[in-house]
Amino acid sequence: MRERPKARREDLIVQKVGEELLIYDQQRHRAFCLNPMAALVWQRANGRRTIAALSRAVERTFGVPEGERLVRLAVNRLARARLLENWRPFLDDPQSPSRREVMRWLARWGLSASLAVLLPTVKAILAPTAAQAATCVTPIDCVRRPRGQCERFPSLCCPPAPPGSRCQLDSINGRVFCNCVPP
Amino acid sequence: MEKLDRLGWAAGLAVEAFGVRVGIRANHARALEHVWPLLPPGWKPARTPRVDYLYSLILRDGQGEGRVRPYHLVYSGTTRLARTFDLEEALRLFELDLHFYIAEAAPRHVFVHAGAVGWRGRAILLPGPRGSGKSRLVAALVRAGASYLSDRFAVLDRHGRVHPYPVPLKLGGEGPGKWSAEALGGKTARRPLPVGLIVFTRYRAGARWRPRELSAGEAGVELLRHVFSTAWAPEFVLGTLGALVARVRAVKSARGEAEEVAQILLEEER
Repeated sequence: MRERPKARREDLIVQKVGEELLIYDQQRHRAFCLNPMAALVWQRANGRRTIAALSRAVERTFGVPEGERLVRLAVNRLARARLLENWRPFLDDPQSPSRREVMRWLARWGLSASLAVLLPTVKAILAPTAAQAATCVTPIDCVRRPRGQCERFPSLCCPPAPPGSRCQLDSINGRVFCNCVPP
Repeated sequence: MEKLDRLGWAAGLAVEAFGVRVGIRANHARALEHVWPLLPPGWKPARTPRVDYLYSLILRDGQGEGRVRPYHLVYSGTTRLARTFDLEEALRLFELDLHFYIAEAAPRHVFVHAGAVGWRGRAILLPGPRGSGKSRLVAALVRAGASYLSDRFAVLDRHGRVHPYPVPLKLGGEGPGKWSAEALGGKTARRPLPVGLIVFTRYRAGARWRPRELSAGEAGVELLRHVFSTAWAPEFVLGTLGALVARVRAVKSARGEAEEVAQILLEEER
């Protein structure tokens, strides 16, 4: 099982952008950008192909030797992003190299210039809500709000509240009120 | 909603903007005078009284009604948005909620939280969170000759064109008021423009402008950071942004003073 990663397809919206993929996870409201290497591995991981088979595909497509390191790193990154159905075993795969090791290895082969394509990357963001994008409220505005409105947008607090503070229900000595709560 | 419906509503209007129909009702006709300037750019009266969403405004009238109902109350649907003595605060919250509701619910447009200007027939997009210095850069670009599209949302259609959304610019430190493009010595764009450049930047004192080209995928995911209708219509958003970033150059860099960067951007896009 560990050797046969299977890409998750359910509740994902996939948009191809050149050789990269933009993926939106409707369950977790996260968006991902897979660079060409991660995209290739994800597209071919169907639960039947082994790591060795995926490695051969990578070697053929990108003209690199010993594609297994790249595939193992890619699979690890995809598992972390929960873009594999069977992601658990790949999170702590002892054979998965670190990003730094792969970078060194690519440099040894004189492939540093192609790092953006060859080094598997899965960039993730949490899809923002209107509240996060909205103009912030001042701490005084936040405190003055009625309770029911604390977490309505715009719920971020502007300075001097610490960065990332949100206007939320808070209680001090049993008294409940809206307050800028630090992250 | 039934309790709200039972209150006496003396005035109302139904407006449509970017395919979203919104109703606004108020406890007296004069309240609507406050509402007109807050409506989103490009609004028009809705053809039918049936609306997708309803705002209810109970505004204290200066001529005596205040003794009966001292608070200004604003409801967004059934949620109380404001209960305050401060009329400006109530109206500010109403305006923000209305604009952001339309941004989330617009069925045929993707609203990117971004500044946008037009230059030589193309739009320059400046996505950025609050506090990133968007408004200042937009103002500098407008002063340098670009036309003003928006300081709040870059409204993209499925062809990748940016529609004007010219809300007044808010410039901290340059007076308390809001600024129109004309007050800055510039002009407002009237037609949608195709995107020519996307610039991800934020102000950092003393930073040098060293733009790094982003790949299409990187630009796509960076743009998604500034779109909040993704959860509502992910296929439409990804399709629109995917097509856009596949053909448009995107750069990223910290920036120093806005005027300097504005000149560089406009010269590059000449």
